Amino acid sequence: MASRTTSGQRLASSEAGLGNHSTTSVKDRVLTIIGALLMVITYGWTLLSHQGQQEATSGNIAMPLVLGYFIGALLIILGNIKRIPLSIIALIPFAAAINIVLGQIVGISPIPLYLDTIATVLIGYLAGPAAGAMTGALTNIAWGLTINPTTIPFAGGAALIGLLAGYAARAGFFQRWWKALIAGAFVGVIAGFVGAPVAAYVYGGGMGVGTGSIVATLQATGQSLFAATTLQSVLSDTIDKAAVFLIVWVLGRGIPQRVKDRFSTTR
Amino acid sequence: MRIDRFSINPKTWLVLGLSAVPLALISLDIGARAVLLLLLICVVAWSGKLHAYGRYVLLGVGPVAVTAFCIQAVSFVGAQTIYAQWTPTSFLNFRLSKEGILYGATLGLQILNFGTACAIAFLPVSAGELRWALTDWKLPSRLIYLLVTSMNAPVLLSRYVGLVRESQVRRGLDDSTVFSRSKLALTSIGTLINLILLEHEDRAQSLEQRGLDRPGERVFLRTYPDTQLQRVLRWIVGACGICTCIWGILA
Repeated sequence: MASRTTSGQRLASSEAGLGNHSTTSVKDRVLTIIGALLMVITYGWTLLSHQGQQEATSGNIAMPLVLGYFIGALLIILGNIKRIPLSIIALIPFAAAINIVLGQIVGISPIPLYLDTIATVLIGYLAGPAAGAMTGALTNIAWGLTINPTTIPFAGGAALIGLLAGYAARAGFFQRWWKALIAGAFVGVIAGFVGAPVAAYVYGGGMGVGTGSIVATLQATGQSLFAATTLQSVLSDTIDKAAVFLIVWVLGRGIPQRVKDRFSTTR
Repeated sequence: MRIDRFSINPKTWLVLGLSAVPLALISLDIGARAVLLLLLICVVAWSGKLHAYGRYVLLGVGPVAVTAFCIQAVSFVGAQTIYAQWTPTSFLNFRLSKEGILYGATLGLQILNFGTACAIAFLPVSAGELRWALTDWKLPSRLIYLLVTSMNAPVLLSRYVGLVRESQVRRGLDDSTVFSRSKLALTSIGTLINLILLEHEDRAQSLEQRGLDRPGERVFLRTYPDTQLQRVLRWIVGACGICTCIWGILA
């Protein structure tokens, strides 16, 4: 690739980093696959090894669970970071900030939703699955570093939401409002199942006032903590992600076409 | 030899905190968790960040710990010693139980320990120090940029929000009541997103000019004190952290 020189400073060609994907190396693909596998194995292990066990006697779940999910998310980030153009890299911190601000406000309210993935889904919709996944994971890590460390173990689940939003956009699910709603609900069900073990075994279902009330009510019907949290997660995430996808559909209609066109190469 | 908190290298804080995270999450009884929390709070106090830690707990881990405790205290499944009971319908049975309180307290302490371990890693380390430490550990420059900028992004975002609000006021839009201010806030979200999207290519060009992807050593204007003792301490604490992880998985 040709490079240009300005005042003695060597600069890369702007086409190299700003708009186009760089090719994915075998190493990056292996990292992504190992990361995804680690998360799947961690989830499977949690289900199989602790099914039916009384929560109070299954205290050894939290550490391997957090470790598996976090390392998995980190490997996915490392495997995809070179693929994403600089223009999207420059955008991700702001997307993360929007997620953090909205998530923090909704988290302390009695609303049993999260609304902390609007910018993740928006980036997935505009810039594709890899950028969406990166935004999701980075949001949770940055949120953990600055205000609320409880979000860090959910980084893997957030990455999955961004990834699926990107694929939903590619498949044309953001063309009609009802399609966005269906895609959001589907992504919500998956996100609910993925996030439930962390919410149950690390945080005891207490991720928010609204969601916590649902867990307490479900436990009062005789459900175990894991079952109650899974039910609550699937319920809340389905509604939450359907709402988020709908909001992104509305926002997408408000974004000028010339802005959308800037992302056409990355999508 | 006297060690004061200002002579602690950012890498030492990060290793200390990150090694405490697995310890915070392994299976311990309630007494051990309480002792661990006290120890971790002592480290935070020594770092001089107790005030920031208070805010960190109040906004982040505190509400989660309290909610987890309340859930288990009133609806723990399989409780034997019941102090009070409330059955609003035939299928709903809230029971304040001894086992629930104990399990809720254990969970609450686990959450507080986890948050405090993270606080040790991140509160004494500024964004610049984090960038320096991660660069020294040879992490990808893009990842470092994303992490550090994400930490500062909420502040930049509030500046953008201020700009949008100011332009709304100057155009004479009503902001006299809570309702009209809420309406303005909702309409400003779309403007804010467009503003950020329009600016991203300029930012990318700036990153390229700054040589974000350029290989080679990074030179920092400021370096941080490091000693042989701290280097040895980091290796020992890091090894202990890894051993805790392995023990936690195998146990």
